[in-house]
Amino acid sequence: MGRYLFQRLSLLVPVMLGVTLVAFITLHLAPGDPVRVLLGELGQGASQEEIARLRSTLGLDAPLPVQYGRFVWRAAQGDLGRSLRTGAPVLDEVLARAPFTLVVTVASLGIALAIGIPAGVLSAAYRGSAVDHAAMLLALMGVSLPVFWLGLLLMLVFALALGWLPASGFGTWKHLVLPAVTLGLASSALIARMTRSSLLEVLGQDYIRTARAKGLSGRIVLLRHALRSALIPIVTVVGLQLGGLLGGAVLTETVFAWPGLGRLAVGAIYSRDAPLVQGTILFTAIAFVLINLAVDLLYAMLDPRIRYD
Amino acid sequence: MIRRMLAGLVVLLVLVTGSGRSGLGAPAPGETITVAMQSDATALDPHRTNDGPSFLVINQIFETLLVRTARGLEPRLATSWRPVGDRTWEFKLRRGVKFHDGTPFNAEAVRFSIDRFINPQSRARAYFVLSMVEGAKAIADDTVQITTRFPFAALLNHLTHPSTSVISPTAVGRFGADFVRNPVGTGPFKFDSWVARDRITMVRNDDYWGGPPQIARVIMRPIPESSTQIVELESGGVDLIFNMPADSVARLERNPRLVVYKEPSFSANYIGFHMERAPFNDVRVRRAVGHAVRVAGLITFFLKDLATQANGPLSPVVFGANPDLPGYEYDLDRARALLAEAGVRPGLRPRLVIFESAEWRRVAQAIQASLQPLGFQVEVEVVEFGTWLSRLDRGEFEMYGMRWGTVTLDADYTLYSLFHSSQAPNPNYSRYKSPEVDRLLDEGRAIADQGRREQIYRRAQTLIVRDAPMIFLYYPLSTYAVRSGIQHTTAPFSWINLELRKATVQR
Repeated sequence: MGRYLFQRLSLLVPVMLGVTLVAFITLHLAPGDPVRVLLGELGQGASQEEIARLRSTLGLDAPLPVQYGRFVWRAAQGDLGRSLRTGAPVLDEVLARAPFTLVVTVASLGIALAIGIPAGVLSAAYRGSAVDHAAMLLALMGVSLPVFWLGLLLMLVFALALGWLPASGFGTWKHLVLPAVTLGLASSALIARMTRSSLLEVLGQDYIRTARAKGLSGRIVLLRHALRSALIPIVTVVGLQLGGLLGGAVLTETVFAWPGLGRLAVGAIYSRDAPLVQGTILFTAIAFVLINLAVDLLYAMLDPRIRYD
Repeated sequence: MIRRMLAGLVVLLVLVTGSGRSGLGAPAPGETITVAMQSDATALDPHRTNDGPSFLVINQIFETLLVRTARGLEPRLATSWRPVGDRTWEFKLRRGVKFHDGTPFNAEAVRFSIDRFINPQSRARAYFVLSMVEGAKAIADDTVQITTRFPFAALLNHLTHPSTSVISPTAVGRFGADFVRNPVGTGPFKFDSWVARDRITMVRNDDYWGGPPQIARVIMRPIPESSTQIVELESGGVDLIFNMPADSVARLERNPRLVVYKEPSFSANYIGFHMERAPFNDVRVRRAVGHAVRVAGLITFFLKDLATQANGPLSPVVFGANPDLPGYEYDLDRARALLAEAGVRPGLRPRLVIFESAEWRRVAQAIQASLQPLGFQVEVEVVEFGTWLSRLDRGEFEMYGMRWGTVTLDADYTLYSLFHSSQAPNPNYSRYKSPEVDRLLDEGRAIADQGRREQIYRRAQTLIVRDAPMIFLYYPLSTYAVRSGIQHTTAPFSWINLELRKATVQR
């Protein structure tokens, strides 16, 4: 187990190098001079010499491999550099924003599970019935709705028309409701569909027939015997969703003006702020790897046949 | 790292579960005004930034020596000024002013600010605003002299730019590089706190030299989505939003709880040409485009009248703008005749490069439709701002859409940048080169007599409009919407100049 963990964690190094290199290259392949972008719409009056001066003070006049080499060398020492735009240390910026995204992600995952699993179970239990059709129709809608649109719609209803919740920003638990629900609804639909199909597959197996034959109630068979085995693909989907939610946060955070990592990343990309883009991507990649690892470890807990020795 | 994240999480949980308000300490007695801005400020040190949101906040906390109003240049931290020789201006400073940290405001503080701004070590983002300044000298406690490297007439206007705000020398000494997050100025509001990408809070400066403002707190919230800003305004989450999409203005105007303000701005929107490349290297072709675009219709249908028609490169609020320019009248026959004279055959596919914005998309569509009757199949390329800039630098376009703000409100700022041959290819993206215009622009920035400068700039604009390196479309209005209980707000010439000194609130 220890060795397995070590192996998995050591995979982080190539992943980190890979994602930052890809981020670095794409950012520099994309047209747009970071110095000009930095000066912005109000800074177009800057002369060539002034632009050159700013470029050299920011260290952007070095050849690209040198710039990337510098980044890796400093990152290995725990220094992710400073944002070109604000001058703040990237690590501080990322760590300060990460909890906001984490809170929304966890809350929306909670909502997704609370809706998705019962809906999936009900659908599977009453397969072919009106309940099943209704739940799956809703799930289809949930998957198809653009987060952006759903967010604005919820905002119009709950903030403007009813006045129950604040429309955007961050402050109290009330501010969390709309972004979490918006993100959670889409995932809940996927989880419901996965739960249903996985459960149906398990329900057709011999040991379920045996359990029924022993005279156990349908409820116990469904929830204790079937659901537990059906959980493995669901956990996989949930793990992937968690990663997806981190990414989905980009749109939700923009709509709801939530101060998380997603907005940090988008802003950094627009302003060609390479150190900040690399920092957020690095953080997200690490989170992704760790989530996947956690999912794999969960398998072993759910299914005693799976061992990592 | 984990420890820091956990600490962040704890803070967050405390805030989320905390008692109602945002957990930023006891609110000061009196009213709060919450303002939405499109993105977060980047730095609150006037020397370390050059973007709208940062200047919006800086303008509440800091002050410049002079301000520009509809009446012209007016005193702010300087009370009077006079030229001494042809490269030096002397300023008398307001007495009895203190920075928020108690440091007295005086000639030494002004000298310190200017020297820090022009010092290469400072990496000033808006360095171009004072790049002509040689240095500043404290003559007496309330007298300071600023010298330029060459005679530069627009210096006074440049000293209205928010990047030239006077900063507290003591606070800079105390905070060092962290001054970007601990701004200390002389303005009507004092900095209180900054939660990145969520809010910047300022409180009333009770010792403000102009008398304390009525409102107790100002909160500026970055809200990127304009639809979200509108819902926040209508539901009372924020009190003031800027630059609403043209489509929503009429609806907001019908809302009895809101007031919409539309004021002239210092900006102008143009379509520029690549003058070194066919077909627009021929002035007749450029003029033909000018005659083919029905700007009045564009303003009414696409911009919902939130702009006025342009006749030249400068909005009428800018010093030196020429109100008598003829502009280009809509006249399709004339346009066709000009093209025929130039020997241009139909079927050309010029690229029009614009940056992503709802407004420019519409304008580009209108241009596309207008030029169709001339036989041009305009290919509109919509790119994001960074890409747009580099396309312009590298000359990868035949036409480009651009908005330019004359931030200093003096003709020199725009005309020199956009039309002096030394500024090609950037920001003179059209690659316009005219020895006569060069001569006028050089003369205009060097002489002090404002009356003569005005004549010079009028002449230069006449030549520019004749040569048509761009066609000048419109001067956008600066719009903002406020909850109706809030009065006496102004935003002269741009949203970044929002003034809340005299604002009052009745809920």
